[in-house]
Amino acid sequence: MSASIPNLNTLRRGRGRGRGGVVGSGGRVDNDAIVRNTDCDAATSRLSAVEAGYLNDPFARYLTDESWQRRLPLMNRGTYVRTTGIDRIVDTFLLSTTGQKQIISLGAGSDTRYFRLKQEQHTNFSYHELDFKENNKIKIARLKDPQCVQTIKTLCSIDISTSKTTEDELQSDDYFIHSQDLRDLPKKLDWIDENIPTLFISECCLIYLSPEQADRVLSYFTDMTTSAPTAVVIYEPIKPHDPFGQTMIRNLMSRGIQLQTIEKYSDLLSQRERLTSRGLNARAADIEQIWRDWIEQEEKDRIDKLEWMDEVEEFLLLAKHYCISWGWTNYDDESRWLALSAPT
Amino acid sequence: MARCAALLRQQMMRPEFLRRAWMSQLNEDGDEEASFSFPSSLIGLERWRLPQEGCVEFDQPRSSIVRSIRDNFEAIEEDATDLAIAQLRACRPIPEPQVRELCYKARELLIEEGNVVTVDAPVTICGDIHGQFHDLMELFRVGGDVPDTNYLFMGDFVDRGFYSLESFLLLLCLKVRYPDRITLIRGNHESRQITTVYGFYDECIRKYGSANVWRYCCEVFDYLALGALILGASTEVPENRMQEKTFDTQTTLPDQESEIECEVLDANGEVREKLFRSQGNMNPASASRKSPAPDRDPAESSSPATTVSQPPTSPSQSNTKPPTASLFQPPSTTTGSLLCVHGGLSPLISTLNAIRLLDRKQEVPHEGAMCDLLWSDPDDIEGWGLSPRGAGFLFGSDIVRHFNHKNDLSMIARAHQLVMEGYKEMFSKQIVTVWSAPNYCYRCGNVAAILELGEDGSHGGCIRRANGSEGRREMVGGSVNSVGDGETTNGSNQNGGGLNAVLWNLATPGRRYRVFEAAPQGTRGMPAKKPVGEYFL
Repeated sequence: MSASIPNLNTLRRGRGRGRGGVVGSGGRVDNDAIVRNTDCDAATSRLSAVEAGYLNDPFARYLTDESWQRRLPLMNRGTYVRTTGIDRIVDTFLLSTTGQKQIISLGAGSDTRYFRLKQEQHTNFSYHELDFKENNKIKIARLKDPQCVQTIKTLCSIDISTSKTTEDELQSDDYFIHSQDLRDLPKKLDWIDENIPTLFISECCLIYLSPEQADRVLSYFTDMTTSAPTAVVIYEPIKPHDPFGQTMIRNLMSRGIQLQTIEKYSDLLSQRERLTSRGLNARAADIEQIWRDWIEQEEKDRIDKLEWMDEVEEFLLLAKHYCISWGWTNYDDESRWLALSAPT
Repeated sequence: MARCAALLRQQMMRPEFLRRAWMSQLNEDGDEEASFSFPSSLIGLERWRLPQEGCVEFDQPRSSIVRSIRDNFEAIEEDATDLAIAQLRACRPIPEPQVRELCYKARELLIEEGNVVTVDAPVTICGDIHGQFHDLMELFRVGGDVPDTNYLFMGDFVDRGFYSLESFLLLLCLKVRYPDRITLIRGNHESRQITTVYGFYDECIRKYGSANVWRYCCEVFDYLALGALILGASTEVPENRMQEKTFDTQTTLPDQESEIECEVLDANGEVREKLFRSQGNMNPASASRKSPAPDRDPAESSSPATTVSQPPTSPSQSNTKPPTASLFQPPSTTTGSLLCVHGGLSPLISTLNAIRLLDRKQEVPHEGAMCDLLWSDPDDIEGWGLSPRGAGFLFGSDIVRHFNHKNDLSMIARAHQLVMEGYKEMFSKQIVTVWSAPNYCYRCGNVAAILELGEDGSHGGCIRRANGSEGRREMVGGSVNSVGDGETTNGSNQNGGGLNAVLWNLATPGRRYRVFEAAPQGTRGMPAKKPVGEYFL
């Protein structure tokens, strides 16, 4: 009789921790699961924007859970601006120098950028993704899906099925998936080449670490390449103090998601200083400014026609609370970087 | 007993609703033939008993049963609606056949209304609700319950929130039950196309398993009025409901200098802000809250060549005389009337009559006057501009000023745009945005507001205030030099004309805003599992 009664405490644990944000012994595991899960959200948003015609990303559907749901027009627009904005910075990085380069994406999750770059015929770069073991397992399993393999073969001329894979890691000529907890970085990551231009991407990644951990991670990478051209792009929410921001913090907290560095890097200025203090030239712009200043009018007109956008004020509000900050250093020719406009 | 039910069904040419109510009672008595059954949660069976106790007995002759039902028809029907209201107030959807019945009745009511419904003050004006049911309950708590308070909802009942269905059906039930106490006009979300994108359609499918209810509701949407005209609003802030109600407070004439024009209260009825009326709108109290830029007219900026851009059909502006009061023709109101519309104005509409002439009984079109009324926004521009929403237009202060002047309006109230403070007056108080969905989408962190207008004494048989303020006009735009109380001359607006393009528009009504926050989560059965508000992660 008693054997059939489930142990309610084991059931309760995850939820309780998540909600209260209590980190006890073992609490880390539960919070990690929540953070890992944010990738599912991001993938859903991406696929929604793809399906609605905002983004061209034939790979997204293979890397997204089947349970994805359509997002509202303002979310699609936000996803579009975020992706397009970061793409622009990646392009700037890739075009600024001629030789071999590397891109290191922190907490990459289900990101498809490598394949999109390959589809666009970019060469001379290697792409490294770092994430939790659990996320990598899912991604690698999905990449092995025959349809996915076929799509990648057709569009990128890459046979992903021939790459060396373990359960949670992948190695090919220029694409790598590493299982790495950013809180436990070793003294040296042996796959990093410190002597070639390097771009670090954090798309909603560092913000889930504690401020100390996040600072350590950022310094770890920016200190690594001392003389080679180095660039960083960080995308994350800002402005936690106004009513929208407060509500955002509260709502995410109720899902167990803590934006740990948002207090420290709460606005465009502090986001910029975070990079300048590490010796980079830095700029920052919120998503609303990126939409306004970076997207060509023709493209805006195309986007406007995709869906009825009855959330104009709401979009402005939302877009003001997300920022892209980027920095670069050791470049002989900075002209491409300087061409990226941002409010001073 | 079975035969009795069958005969009843045959003979009673009554709306189905009544029949069902009747049959469900029979059903309870074990009648197998009664084909319809209500969920037990809906039927407080004791409530279905006919008002005259004991008059319905099954051993009575059939005719007497029918007669007693007929005699008590209205009472039964009200009772049934009350029951549906009670169920909806508990945020539980009513069964599909009942929705169909309700929508049918609502349509019968709405079809009688003009495109512009006339509403008498006192009335409380509300903006977007967007399915935030618990916040709608909070609105009623703050603003007073129906039918004690008269309400005018300016559309966007559905979409975005989790309880579009319950919110809209409750408002519709209240409309059917108290047709003179509640007015509903159409918002841009009351449309088939928009509701399929923004949630109401999905919600109906989720809650009923089919699109039928969505279809019934959409049919009602097509009959909703496009606007409302509020008559008889007082220049004074309405009596505060929260205070002791005494009816003769109006007998003491308020001091002209200290008359309150606008009052902002919080959800507990505490006064947060007061604005006193004074000549020429130049009260420092109001000036301090407003940025001067949007309020200024181009004619002000001393350029003699400036002609205000106008709708093409209004060259005869100068002929429009304000109604002059005489012994035989007293002014109908002390203030002008107030137009309520969901979005705003249209370049195709220059008079209220033009709205009245539209054929509204259709899906909201993608363009044209009807679309504009539901989609447009005021903006700090001159004339008309393109709307970022992809439908409707942006319109500037000059457009509003001339429209109000031409139509003897003292103000336009509209909704449609999220404003963080719940309300926003623009263009020298010529237009106000009222937003009634607090913490919109459970994400925006905004407060909500409702706007209360008081009744001017003339309808209540009170003695008209003899301080010369009838038909009082206030200057909008232009210089302040020649302001005089009781001024009724039409300011010069000749085309190609004067340096001072002053329009003497009717005095704004006294306004009380009640500002409120979102109903506390959890306590009102907010869904705990549903992710609250989407973010980029």
